[in-house]
Amino acid sequence: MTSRSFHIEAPDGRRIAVWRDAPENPCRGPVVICGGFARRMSSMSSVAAYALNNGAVVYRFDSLDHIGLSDGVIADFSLTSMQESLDATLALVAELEERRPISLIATSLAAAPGIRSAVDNPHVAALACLVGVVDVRRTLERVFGVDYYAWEYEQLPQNVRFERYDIDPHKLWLEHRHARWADFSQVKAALSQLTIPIVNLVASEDQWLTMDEVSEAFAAPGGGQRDIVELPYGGHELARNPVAVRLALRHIMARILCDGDLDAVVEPGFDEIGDLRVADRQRARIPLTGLQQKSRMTEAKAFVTEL
Amino acid sequence: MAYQMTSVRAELPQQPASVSQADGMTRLDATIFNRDDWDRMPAEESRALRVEAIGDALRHHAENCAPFGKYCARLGFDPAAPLSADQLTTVPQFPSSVFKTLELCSVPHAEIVHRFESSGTSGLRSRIPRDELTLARLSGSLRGTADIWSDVIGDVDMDDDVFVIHLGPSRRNAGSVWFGYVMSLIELEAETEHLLSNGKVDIGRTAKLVKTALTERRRVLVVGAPFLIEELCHWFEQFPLDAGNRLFLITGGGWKRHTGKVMSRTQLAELACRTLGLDSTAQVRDIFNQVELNSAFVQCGEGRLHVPPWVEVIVRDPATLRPLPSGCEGLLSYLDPTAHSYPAFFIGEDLGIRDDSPCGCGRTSATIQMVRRLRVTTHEGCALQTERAAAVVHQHVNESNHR
Repeated sequence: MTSRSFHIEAPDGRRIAVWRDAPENPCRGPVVICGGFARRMSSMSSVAAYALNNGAVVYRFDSLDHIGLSDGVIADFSLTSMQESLDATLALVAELEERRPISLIATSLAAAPGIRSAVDNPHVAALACLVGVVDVRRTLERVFGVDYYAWEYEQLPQNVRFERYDIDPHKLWLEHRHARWADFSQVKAALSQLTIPIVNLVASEDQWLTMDEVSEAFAAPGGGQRDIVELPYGGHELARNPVAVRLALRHIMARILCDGDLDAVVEPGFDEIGDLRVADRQRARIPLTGLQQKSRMTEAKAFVTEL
Repeated sequence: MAYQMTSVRAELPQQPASVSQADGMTRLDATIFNRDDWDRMPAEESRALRVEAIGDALRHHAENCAPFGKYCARLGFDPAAPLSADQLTTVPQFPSSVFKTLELCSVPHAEIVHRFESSGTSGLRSRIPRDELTLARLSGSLRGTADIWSDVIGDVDMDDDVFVIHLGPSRRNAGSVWFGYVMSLIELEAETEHLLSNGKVDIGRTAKLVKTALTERRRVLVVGAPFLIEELCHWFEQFPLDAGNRLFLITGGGWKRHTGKVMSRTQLAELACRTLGLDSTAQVRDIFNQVELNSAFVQCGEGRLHVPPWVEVIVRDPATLRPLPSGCEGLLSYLDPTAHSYPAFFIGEDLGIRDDSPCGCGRTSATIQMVRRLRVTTHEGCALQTERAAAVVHQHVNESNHR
């Protein structure tokens, strides 16, 4: 496997950290992994290991205004920042991979920007969501216990807490006013325009996302092939359950890389996934320096860091 | 294990989406990997989980592990019959010594990823084959995000703020020695430096690493065998540290010194407080496991070893093998449904106590206390033990059936 690290620039000049991993003999199109809220790219090792084992070149990134290696802090998180980060990564991938069709894997909240980017970007050929959130407003209401979008701006608290992170709700509230991120109807409208195949893996015991919501979103008129796969028992934190990951990714890899043939999917072993996890954590600690740190996208090939 | 997609077509009102269900997930896996508060699971729920998971495992092993299937048949135990909570004590269990003479395997050999051995230096060793699922579940029982670790990890980011110093080999270098492998799994949870090199641990280097990591204001976990932790404490005797509440010592692998003398956990914890400047003896924690068992038991700050809710620990009378109530000392035996590649239904060689009383730490899961090792070691004894165990368990089964 060959691994490279990049920093690319967002439209506002801030740096987005991107990792590229390639198997010895890539034989399938590139895969871009967009991790969910409060998850680093280094925690997406198992998803990356599956795509790598099936011959894909894998790209991961940390979103702006998030935890991880890109600029900004998670207190300022917004879906707009996440989509900007995704779009910049997709543009890099299109260039480096000579505009081959890209498969996009989006987990949890990243499904919302994932769907919008897939509509806008002609290089995205398939979209696979792991517990992909379709109704942002209802999901965030379940997460925080309150629908902050219904509040007056001035009444919003300074911070709301998710896991161990404090988030400023004002930015989310404002971006919703401008770009309607929390409107379920917007997601359904985007899905209606999406002609590529899309699959969403939904866990039956997910406390933040329901099968009904996904069914309703995927029933929007128009659009391309849509598949929903239900995982019995699983919760929202699917990525840390290796049994769920195995089931889900086998299905996803079959859809996006193996023409739907489940038997053709090559599964990485427990030790192999563990090795990548350990290597990813080490890689996340290697600082990019000097010339390697900055690169305009068009010059990205010249500024990669071999690990 | 088969992972199959059963496809069904559901007609949705506007645009039909294909809806399918992924078979292969179980409540057991959802608990191990996704439920953080399993240490506080209500008793009724944890009993139901055990009955379901042990029942599933029982059927799987009886069908796929011929010696176990025959053992069930010889005992007149029907593994296909629905299992109830009060029948858990009648599930056939091998003496753990059987694993020293037989390789019990419930999956095709091609699916075995590792064969692990107990770490004893004399006599025969147990040899346990493990497949992907079995290894993943073992790792899940040590998951750092579970609440059982909450007072060790705290509310910090495991990727950024926790540093582990492991006085053992890396996972890839652990070979077939079981406990080395178990402890090495910590590297999947947080940044880890493994310090076993050429069979030795450099305590001086360990001490330097501890000091550096504490200077970086990180939470430091030193993981290793008790005698190595003791050596580290002695290293600091001349120039004691002031680690406060940011250093935790996680022991595992047995409390015997090279001399054969048993170490005291209390004395080690007191030594650690004196030399490393720990705020509390509760910062010294032990992990219990043995090669035949596929789940780790983690000690809480009160010093009690908490049993995960999916494992049934049955304490048996050493002479009759009859189950004993909570609080009584006897032979510790286990029904661990997380083992998919071999039947982890066995009677161990440790004397101990199961305690179902509430723990001061607030956790509600059962706990065990190890008392001492039983003195049975001879190879010749294994077959006799098996026969004796079979006969006694059989008798107990018959008695239960007639009640």
